[in-house]
Amino acid sequence: MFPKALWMKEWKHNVLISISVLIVFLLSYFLNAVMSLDTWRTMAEQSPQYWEQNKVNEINGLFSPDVFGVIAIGLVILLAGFLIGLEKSTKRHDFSMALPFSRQQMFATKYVFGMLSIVLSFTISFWLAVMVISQSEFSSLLSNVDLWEVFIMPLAVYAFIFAFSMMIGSITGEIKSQIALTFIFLFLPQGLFMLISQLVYVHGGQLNSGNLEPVMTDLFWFMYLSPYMYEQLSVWTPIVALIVASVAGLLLFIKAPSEYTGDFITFRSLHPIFLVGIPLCSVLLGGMLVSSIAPYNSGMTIAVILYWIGATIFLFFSWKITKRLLNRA
Amino acid sequence: MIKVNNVTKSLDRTRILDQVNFQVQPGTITGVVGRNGAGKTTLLRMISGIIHADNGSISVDGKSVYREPDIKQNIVFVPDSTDALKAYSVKEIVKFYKTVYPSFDETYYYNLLDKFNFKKTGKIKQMSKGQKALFSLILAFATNAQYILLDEPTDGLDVIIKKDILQFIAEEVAKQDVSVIISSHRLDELEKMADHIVVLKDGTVESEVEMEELKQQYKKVQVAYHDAFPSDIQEHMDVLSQSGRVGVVLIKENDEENEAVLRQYDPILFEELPLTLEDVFVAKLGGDLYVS
Repeated sequence: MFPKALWMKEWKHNVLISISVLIVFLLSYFLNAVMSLDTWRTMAEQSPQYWEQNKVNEINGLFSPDVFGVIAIGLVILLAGFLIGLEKSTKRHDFSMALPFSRQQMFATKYVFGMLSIVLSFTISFWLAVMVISQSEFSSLLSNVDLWEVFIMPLAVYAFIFAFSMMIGSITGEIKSQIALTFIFLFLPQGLFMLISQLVYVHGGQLNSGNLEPVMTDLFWFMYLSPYMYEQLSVWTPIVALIVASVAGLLLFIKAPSEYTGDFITFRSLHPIFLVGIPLCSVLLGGMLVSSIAPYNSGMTIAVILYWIGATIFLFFSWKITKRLLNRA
Repeated sequence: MIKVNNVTKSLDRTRILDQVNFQVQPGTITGVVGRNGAGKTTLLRMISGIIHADNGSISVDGKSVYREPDIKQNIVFVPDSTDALKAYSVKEIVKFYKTVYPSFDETYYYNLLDKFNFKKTGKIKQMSKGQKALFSLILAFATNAQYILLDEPTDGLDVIIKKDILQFIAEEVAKQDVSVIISSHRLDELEKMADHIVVLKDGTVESEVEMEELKQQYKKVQVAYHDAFPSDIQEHMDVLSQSGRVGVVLIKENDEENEAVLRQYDPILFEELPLTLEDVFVAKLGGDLYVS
């Protein structure tokens, strides 16, 4: 299933990005833990009262990826981009496809290579941080953290985002469209909700978000990087999404037409969806942006006029850009 | 044997290949010729399993390259660009090829590197364009694969390296039991070494001929007349060139009818010239097939 030659090929082309992932996780957990010990000692000595009040937050904050989490998400998407999109953007795609291996083997090797890079880097960094704390005078603080939860939640999301980007890479024809569409589709539910809310709001209505709570929390993947949100979230959501994205990615990779590599999207049957979807979202975005400049105390009419001016401008340009994107083959 | 059976392929609703049929026999050199955009590269990419045919089938030794990709251990596709190799060093690529192709002959590979004065260290990207082209051929032949597919192997190369490459291919095919398919529009190059020619025109196999037979099928005649060059000759025959009263015409070997037409105007010169492959294809396919 995982031929040695394919491992060698993926290693050759992707080892640097994999090391980058490891470095970010080491900075996020291990180095952060080492540095935090010093900060905590100073706090405990100089402001004991403050330290007593905040030590639980401090230890939880250590296991909250924050900025490094966002960087890690970027690198995870880039890793998937290097594994699939970059190969398609270059002559390496033909070279790979001409090798005596099945597409299942190719996808499986890329997938496992990327997934192992993420899981091993994260696991090593995380448990090194735990080890550093447990060996220090602050080891008792670990009892205030649900270690399993702060370990599995972000890891499940990194793994899902990687699998999702691999799936997007299977339908796109090059690295730029893979990365752009991964970001867009990762936040599409929340983005669409925001855009439609604004459309309704400008026209005097109010969208009830009550029924859409799961979309705004469970499917908003950044939530899984904050331990403070874990009570509201289930680890099964990213795990189920991971399984779906992985299976879909494999099937799409097998079916992907190699003759259209280098194009925005390789599946011609998806063109109508993008031909409608991109201008439609652009209309909503243009309307939202331009209506936001309406004076606070102006009437609804001004806001509506501005909304549709923005929508029209964005429609014109997005239609042109979309046609060019899809017809550039 | 490679069998291309009724293969059809469209790209963006444009038919690139339509009901293409041909076979490649073991130990032969097959030239796939056609004008730019005739579908030569698409055909080679399909044989090597990179892209799928819309209809029809391609088999190598009776096995489908799509369903049984292991058979591709016997096929090496050498594209017109060597970009895919540029990240590797001369040593790394051997290690990689040995893993992919179990029959890879390392001794033969290094002997050829010596023969062509290649350095045995350093990155492939540091080589010149011609060296890269020759190097990718050496790699391909060192795999001991039974079928080697070469897409425009001499495109954009200088005369000296081109000669080296063509000589190398001819020598290796003579030594090994290997079949080579070469796509090219350089007819003069194919003429020297191909056993079999497949002519693609508008996505279909316009003709498929053995080289020896082809040269026996046509003859090239130079004719000159007292008066102006007869217009019905220009209209009804393949005139390769014409200047004033002198013209060069391609006719079929036993085409007595056309020969009689040429003679009925009392030519002051009627001389048979040596026939080249280019003459036949320019006459039959027209225009810019031959690109030097």
